[in-house]
Amino acid sequence: MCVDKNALFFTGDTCQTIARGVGFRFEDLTTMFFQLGEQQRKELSARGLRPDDMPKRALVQVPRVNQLSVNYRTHNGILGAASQIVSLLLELFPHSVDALEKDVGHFNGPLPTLLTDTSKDDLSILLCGSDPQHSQIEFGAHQVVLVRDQVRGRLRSAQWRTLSAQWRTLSAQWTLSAQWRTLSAQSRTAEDCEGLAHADSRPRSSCPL
Amino acid sequence: MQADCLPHQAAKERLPAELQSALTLTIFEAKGLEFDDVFLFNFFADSPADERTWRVITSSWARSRDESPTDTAAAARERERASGRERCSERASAADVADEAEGAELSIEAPRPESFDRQRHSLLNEELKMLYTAMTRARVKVVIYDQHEEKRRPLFHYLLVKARAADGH
Repeated sequence: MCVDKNALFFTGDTCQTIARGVGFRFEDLTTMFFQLGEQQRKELSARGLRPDDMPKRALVQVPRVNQLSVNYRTHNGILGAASQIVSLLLELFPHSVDALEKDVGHFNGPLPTLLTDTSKDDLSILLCGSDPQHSQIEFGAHQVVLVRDQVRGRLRSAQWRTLSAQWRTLSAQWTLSAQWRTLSAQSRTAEDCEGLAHADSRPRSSCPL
Repeated sequence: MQADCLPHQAAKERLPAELQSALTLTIFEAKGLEFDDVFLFNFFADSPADERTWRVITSSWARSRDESPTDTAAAARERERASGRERCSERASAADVADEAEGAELSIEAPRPESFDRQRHSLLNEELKMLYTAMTRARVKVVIYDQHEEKRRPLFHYLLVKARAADGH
């Protein structure tokens, strides 16, 4: 498939291998290349050849692994929580992820918020009024609701009022530093190149409702 | 943007008004994308892993290793105490968990730890990766909202004890 077996380039994050039943580690990949190299050496010597006799690009080499340790997407508030989850993975399933240095962001930001008081459905009525037409929306193009699957994630009207009320309360509490905003604006250019930062690049056919 | 996602106009009219401007994606669909704010909805309630599986987290966290730039006094203190028993092969007992969490003044109760069995609890592997993937879609804010109090408790408790999340009440 590829003339120069060593001219392959792989990228990825093993903590994000979420396809069911599919696992992947860079550690396994380097092991595979190492074994291929061993096999090749044996085959060569069986034909009376030494590796030195071969052009370099015809020999299988073990690829170098470069870890990207700066996270340009997000801040340390989120990264800290994410790395805490990676710690659990390393502890419980050490052969399922690559053990890497923790990635670090360029700035600090708000910790993830856990809503622990979700039993009061009446809250929505108190905060939004009973008429959803008159409640203010805080969800825009740069927000996303992530669900497990489209059917079960479907929100009932009452639940949604609770959510948007809580979202609004929380938004008022969050104040981001001027530094964050500046850096965020500057980093847009790089993101634009990746093609990920814009609403236009998001899938358009995935809304269930 | 949402309009063309919908099969027909009638479906759109059935939506609550607030929902009409919200983008709702599954974690699989959101993989590789990024957003300013991520609202994770019923991740635990809709999880294929049961409550006992999630409680494995509680038996494990007392021994997890950690270092990070966004350190806090509470987390550092916790780690210092945890490191003392890092090599201990026994799982954290309920008493350990209660003891460990004491200083943190948490609003949620400590879950009962469940001892880990790699076969029986293998679902937790992909569940944690899913959670990691969901959280890391956000550039600015992550909010986790979940209606299953028992299933969400171990992870909520873990992040709060480690001072890696804020209790939004």
